[in-house]
Amino acid sequence: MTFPLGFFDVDCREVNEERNGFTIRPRAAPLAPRLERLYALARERSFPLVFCSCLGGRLLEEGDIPEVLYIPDKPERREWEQQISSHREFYLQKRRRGDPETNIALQAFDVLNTNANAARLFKLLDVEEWIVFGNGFNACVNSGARGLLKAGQRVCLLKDVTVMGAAKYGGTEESRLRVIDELESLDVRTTTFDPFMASLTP
Amino acid sequence: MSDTLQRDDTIATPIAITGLSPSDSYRRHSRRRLLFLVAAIGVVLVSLMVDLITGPASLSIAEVFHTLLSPWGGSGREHVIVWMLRMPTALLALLVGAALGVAGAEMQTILNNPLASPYTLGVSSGACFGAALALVFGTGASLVGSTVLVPLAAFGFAMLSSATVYGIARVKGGSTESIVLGGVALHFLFSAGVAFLKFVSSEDQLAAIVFWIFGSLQGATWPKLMLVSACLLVTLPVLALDAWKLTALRLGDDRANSLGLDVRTLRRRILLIVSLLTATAVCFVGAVGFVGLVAPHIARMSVGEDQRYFLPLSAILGALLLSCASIVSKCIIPGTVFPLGVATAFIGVPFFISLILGGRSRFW
Repeated sequence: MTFPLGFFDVDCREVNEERNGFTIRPRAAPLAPRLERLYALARERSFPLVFCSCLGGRLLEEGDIPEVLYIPDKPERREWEQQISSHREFYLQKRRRGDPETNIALQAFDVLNTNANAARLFKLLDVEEWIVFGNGFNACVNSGARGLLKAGQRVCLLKDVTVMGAAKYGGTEESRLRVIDELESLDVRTTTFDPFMASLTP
Repeated sequence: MSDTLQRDDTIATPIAITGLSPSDSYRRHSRRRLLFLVAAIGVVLVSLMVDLITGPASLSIAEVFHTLLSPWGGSGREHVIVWMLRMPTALLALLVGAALGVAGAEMQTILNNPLASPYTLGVSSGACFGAALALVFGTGASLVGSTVLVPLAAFGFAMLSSATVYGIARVKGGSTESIVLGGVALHFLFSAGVAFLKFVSSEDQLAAIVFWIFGSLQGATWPKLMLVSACLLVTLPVLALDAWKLTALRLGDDRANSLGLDVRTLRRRILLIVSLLTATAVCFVGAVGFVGLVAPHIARMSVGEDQRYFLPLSAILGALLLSCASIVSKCIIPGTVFPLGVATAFIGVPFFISLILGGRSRFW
C-alpha cells in the first residue's frame, strides 16, 4: 500500500455528543471551510487521513465510529494492523492523565511520544508526504510534525490551516513564527491552502 | 576530615605491599585515575551513539554512521533525523547532565556534605520559583519575558537559595545537620512558593509555569545547545583553575586556611558558578533531580577527592547518567518517550545502591 499523500489532522475535529460522527472543534471553527474541502479531497482520492486529539475536546472511544480505525496506544495491541487496508481514516488514541499539569508533565500533548503504535501506523501506510494541519499549532501540531520527522516521514505543513494553541501553552504569534522557522529548518515543506489545492487540480 | 585521612591511608597501604616508592605509587595511582577518565569518556561516546541510533525511524546502525560521517553533505531524511532531531537531544542530555554533575560535585565540596546537590538543597526549587515569579508577574513583553527575564529570575533565585544555604552553614558552624535541614527547608519553601504562584495565577500563567518547570529534552535545538555549551565553557575552566584549592577545602576549613586559601571568597565564587550551572540546566530540561547528587558520589568512589580527576569525572558521569536516561526513556515502551525524571531514577537508583552495597564501604 503506497500513497502519494496522506493527511495528518491534529485536533481539528472531535466526536459529536451522540458519538456517531464528528464536529469541528470550536477553536478550529474559522478553518471549517478549508477543513471540509481537505476531508472531501481525502475521501475522493482515497488518501489516508490520520487524526488525533490534543489536550481538549471529546476523545473518540474504540468502536464509536466503525469507519474509523482506532489505533490503541498500547504496544502489545497489534490486531489493528490487519485492518489497515480496509480503512482510510485512522484515529490515534491519546490518553489524558488527569489535570492539565499532569498532562503537560507527561507530555500528553505529543501523540507520537505517547502512542506506541503511531510510528508503526505511519510506516505501514507508506505515504510519500504527510500534509499536516491542525489546532494547537505550537504544542500539538509542532510535536506531531516533529514526531513524523523522527519516524522518518516527509512532512508538508499547511501554514494557514492551523490554529494557535491557547496562550497558556505559549500560543503567541511570535511563537508561531518561531515554530514555522524551526520546522522549515528541519526540512519540513511549508505551503498554504490555495497553492496546495491548486497543485492537486489536474 | 578524619575520613579523608583514612581514605588517603587506604590509598597508601598498597605501597608498602608492592614495594613501590611513594612517587612511583603516586604515578601509578594517577595513571589509573587517568585511565578511568578515558574509559568513562569512551562509555559516554558509546552512550551518545546508542542515543543517536535509538528512535522511531527504522534507521540502521550503518545508515546512522554514514549520516554522521557527512554532517554537511546530506539533506535527506536521514540527515534531518540524525543531525537535526536526534543529535541536539542527545547532546543536550550530555551537556545538562555534565552541568548538574559538576554543580552537585562542587556543592558537596564547598558544603562538605554528602547530601548536597542542586536538587536536595533547594537550588533547583529556587530556580523554578524565580522562573514562576517572572512568568506570573514579569512577562508583559513576551520576547523579553521568555528569553531574558525568566532565565535571569531563575538564576537570581538559584543564587539566593545557594547563598541562604551557605549563610545557614556559616551561622551554625557548617554542621551537616544544619546545612541539610536548611536546604530541605528552602526546598519546601520554594516549592510552596511555586504552589502559591500556581494558585494565584491565571489559567494561562499556570500552564506556562508547568510547561516551563517540567521541560524536556525533546525541545532541544542547536541554539539552546550553544547556550548550555557557553555556560560550561565559561565555568569549567574557572573550576579547573581552582582544583587544588577545592581539593584542599575538603581537608576542612582550618587546614585550607592554614594553606593560605581565602575560603570565604572561594566558597562565594563556587556558589555563583553552581547557581549558574543549575539555573542553566533547569532552564532547558526542568528540575531533574538525582543526577547532581549521584554522579559526584560515583565519581568520588572511583577516583577519590582530587578535583583534577573528581571534577571531570563528575561531569562525565552526570552526562552519562542523563544520556542513559534519554535512551531508557525511549526504550521502556518502544514508540513512546517516558518523562526524563522517571528514566533517570530507574537507571540511577539501582546502580547507585549496588555501588553503595558492593564493596566500597567508605566513600565520604
